Amino acid sequence: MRIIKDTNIQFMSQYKLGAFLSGAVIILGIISLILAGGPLLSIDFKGGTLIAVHFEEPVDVNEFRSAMSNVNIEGQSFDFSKAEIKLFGSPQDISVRIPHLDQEPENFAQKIVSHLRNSFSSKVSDTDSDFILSIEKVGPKIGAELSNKAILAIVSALGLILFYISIRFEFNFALGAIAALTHDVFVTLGIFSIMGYEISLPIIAAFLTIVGYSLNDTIVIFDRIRENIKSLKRLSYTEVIDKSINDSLSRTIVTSITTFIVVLILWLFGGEVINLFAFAMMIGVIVGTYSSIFVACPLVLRLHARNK
Amino acid sequence: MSKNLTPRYIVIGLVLAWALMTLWPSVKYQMLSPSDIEEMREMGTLESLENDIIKQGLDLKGGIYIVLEVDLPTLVSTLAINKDSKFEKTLSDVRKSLAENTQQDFFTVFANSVSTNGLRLPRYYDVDYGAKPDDILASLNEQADDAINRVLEILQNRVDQFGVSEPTIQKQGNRRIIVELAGIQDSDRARSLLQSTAQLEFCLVKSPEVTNDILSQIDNLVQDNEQLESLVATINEDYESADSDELGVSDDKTVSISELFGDDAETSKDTSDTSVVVDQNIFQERPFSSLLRALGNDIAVPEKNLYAVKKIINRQEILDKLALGNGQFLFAPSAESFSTNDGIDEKLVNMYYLEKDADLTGGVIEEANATIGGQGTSAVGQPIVLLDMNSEGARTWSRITGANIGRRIAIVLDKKVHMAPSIRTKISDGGTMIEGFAGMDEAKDIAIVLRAGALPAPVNIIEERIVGPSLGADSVKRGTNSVLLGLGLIIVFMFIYYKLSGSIANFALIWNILLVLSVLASLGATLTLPGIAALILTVGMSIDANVIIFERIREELRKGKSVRSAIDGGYNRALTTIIDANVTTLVAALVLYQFGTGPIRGFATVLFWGIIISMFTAIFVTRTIFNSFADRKGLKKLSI
Repeated sequence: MRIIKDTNIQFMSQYKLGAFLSGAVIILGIISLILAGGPLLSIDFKGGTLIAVHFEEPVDVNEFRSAMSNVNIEGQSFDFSKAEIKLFGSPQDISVRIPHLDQEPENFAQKIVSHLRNSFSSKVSDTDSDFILSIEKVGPKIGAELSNKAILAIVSALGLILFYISIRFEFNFALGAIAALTHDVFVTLGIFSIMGYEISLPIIAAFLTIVGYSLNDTIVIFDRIRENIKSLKRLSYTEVIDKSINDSLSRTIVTSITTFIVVLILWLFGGEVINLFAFAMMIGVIVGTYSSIFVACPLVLRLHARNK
Repeated sequence: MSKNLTPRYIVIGLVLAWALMTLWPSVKYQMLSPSDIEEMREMGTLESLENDIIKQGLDLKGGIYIVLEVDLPTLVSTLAINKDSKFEKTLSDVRKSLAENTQQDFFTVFANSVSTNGLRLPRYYDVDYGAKPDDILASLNEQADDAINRVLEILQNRVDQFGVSEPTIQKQGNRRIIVELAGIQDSDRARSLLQSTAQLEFCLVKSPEVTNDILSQIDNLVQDNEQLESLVATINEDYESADSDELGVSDDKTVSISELFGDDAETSKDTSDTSVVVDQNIFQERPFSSLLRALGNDIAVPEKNLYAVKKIINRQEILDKLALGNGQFLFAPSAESFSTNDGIDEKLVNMYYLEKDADLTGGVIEEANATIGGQGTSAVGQPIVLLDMNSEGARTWSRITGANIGRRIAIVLDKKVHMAPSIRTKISDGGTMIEGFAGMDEAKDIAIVLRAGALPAPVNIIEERIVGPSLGADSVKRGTNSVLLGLGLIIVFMFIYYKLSGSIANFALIWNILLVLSVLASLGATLTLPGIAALILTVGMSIDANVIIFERIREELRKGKSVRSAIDGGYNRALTTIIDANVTTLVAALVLYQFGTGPIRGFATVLFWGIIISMFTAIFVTRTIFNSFADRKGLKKLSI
């Protein structure tokens, strides 16, 4: 069975369409990022407390919100009704995110949990292990460190990749690959911002996986170009690139479909914790495949034309 | 053309056998019922099995993840002598600067602040730390390293006693400790045991007379301050109305001073009060005391009043008052339920009025053990704690106990009073027995607290993650199901698309997953949720490698080449592509590993091994299988 027969699509002449499409998505994303005041960062980077609890029967988010409006901890009352409260995967599970407080009482999270237990006593299991789904508490110091480390990781990964591709191919190719994966990360970041999803530590892992996937895809095509330049000397550079993309198109489609199936299933059935990770990966697979053809290759072509 | 493939098959067979052998304990463990596990635990064979299985991360199994950091400013301050306002100012500058920019190194900031404030370090540190400022800084740095190592050791010791099956306690950098307690149920107890790694002090409890005196002084001060009085009044109102609403009790709940100290109070001026108790008056005369309760010989604070009480005693004028009397108010670590006279359960926190200066610090304690009191002691059959001190500590202890027979001395850890036993006799050799515990658990916890005492600086929790076992179980179930479903679909797709060759790829895929899992098991690595995600990515990489090869072989076949040369050509051409593509992803995995903490590291580990193994499978294993097809005489058509 073959999905793609021998094709001869002139991808390089379509670069304007690609530039328009990418430009539009990225600009939308940037507008959304500016409006939101930067990416929505999780408590991993900002510090704060995230509590997720499980009720024996569905609880209305508004009811939960009003229960959070007057939390009494050691006689000091707090209003957390403005905190981010949302369903956590199912109508019986709710999570609340509270920003870091300057003078947090001790065992702060545990006390909120017991407040919730009292407020919804009829709907809560007797044992804490059935009630508490998760508690995450990150100090602001750790948060700042994690964001620095994340930036450091991405920059150093890009640097090393640039170095490796420059050695194995040419510097132009390295620039093309970097442009493609930067494009992918920006598009994903923009879509996350538009959807109002937050960036947590696992999402950074997803971004790096997208970087890896996008590179993998780009390099398979570059590899073809490198091979075809040697064997097809009479073709123009544009023709070589087009032919290389067509040659590897079958593989590109098959791999993208299989990978997409896996992350789609993970997104649909993987559960709350992994849901956003899978979503990022899904966008990454689509954008990564697209950017190899419509970002990396046109850039290599341009750089080549300029060098002549 | 035909090479002897036997050695290749032997290698493949050996690797497969190794993988199955390594995975066997995990499979066996999965099949055990809870009662089997209990039985093995009793027989002591469980641990060796648990060492060989794939460990599940906290996100899968449920548990606690805590990052602790040594409080360096406090350490430097504790070690200093002759502290004056200049020294305190320097330290508070350092604290401020660290709070503004959290990324700075403490000692760099401290050194800067010392030079800008013109602080002469040798004045504040013993000659043992060195004569020159640089030497002192270096020794302080050493002290900091030593402190974190002690915390590490104490935590290890403590967590082992706590009975968690696979505790992970590791140092992160020079200043931090990561504690992971998987599968733990009682998170509160674990947390408080971890957190109480701090300074242990013995402080004498002030006598009831002195305590009464300070309470009435505070009452007067509160009366003079309208703001405070109204605060106290509202809290009392809230308290009463809450009580009457919830509990149907309408009586006034304020207490007199005599009630505070019960019948045991031997203070003359208070007995006069008892006869004229009019609650209304008491409240007006003693607004602060009215927030408190009497609990035997102790003072207690209802949990609801705790915030108000703390707020009052931390007011500057009251702190000044306390400083004059050289005293401090400290609380018990947690609230306990008590039945009041009306038979109502009330949550109370004990409050103590102690000497400000510690009479003895925990560094002198050499041993502390919980045991059962033997024959001939006053606590036969009761849980007790036995203490041993070093000679220096024993000397001080002998002096304190000798001079204060009949008084109580509080065991204070981290500014929390864990208990306040009475001194019965002069103890001259340091060997001390503490009795009066409710149960063995309490005695054990106190012994642990006493052993933790040798730390010169408190430890702060700066990050904490708790995953409930039900969320963990849910994640495992869903994660596994989606991996299996995704895998199934890919297998079907590959079979339809590439037929027999697709089946070879599918074999490679399953082999790949088995091998990654067995590498994880033998490395003792932990499988986390991101790890499962990486496993899925590995599936993608493994399929991709095969797809690249198959497409190349198809191309070669379309050019009219024979099966044999199409396979050779396809593999040779695909090889560079696969290597280049995988090496770049490998770079990403390595960077992730380097930068990652906990869950991300799990992701990177699985991705790293996944890529290496999938390269091995694609280049070596499937190649061998293809070659043996091609070697068959007269093979004209390849099912691809």
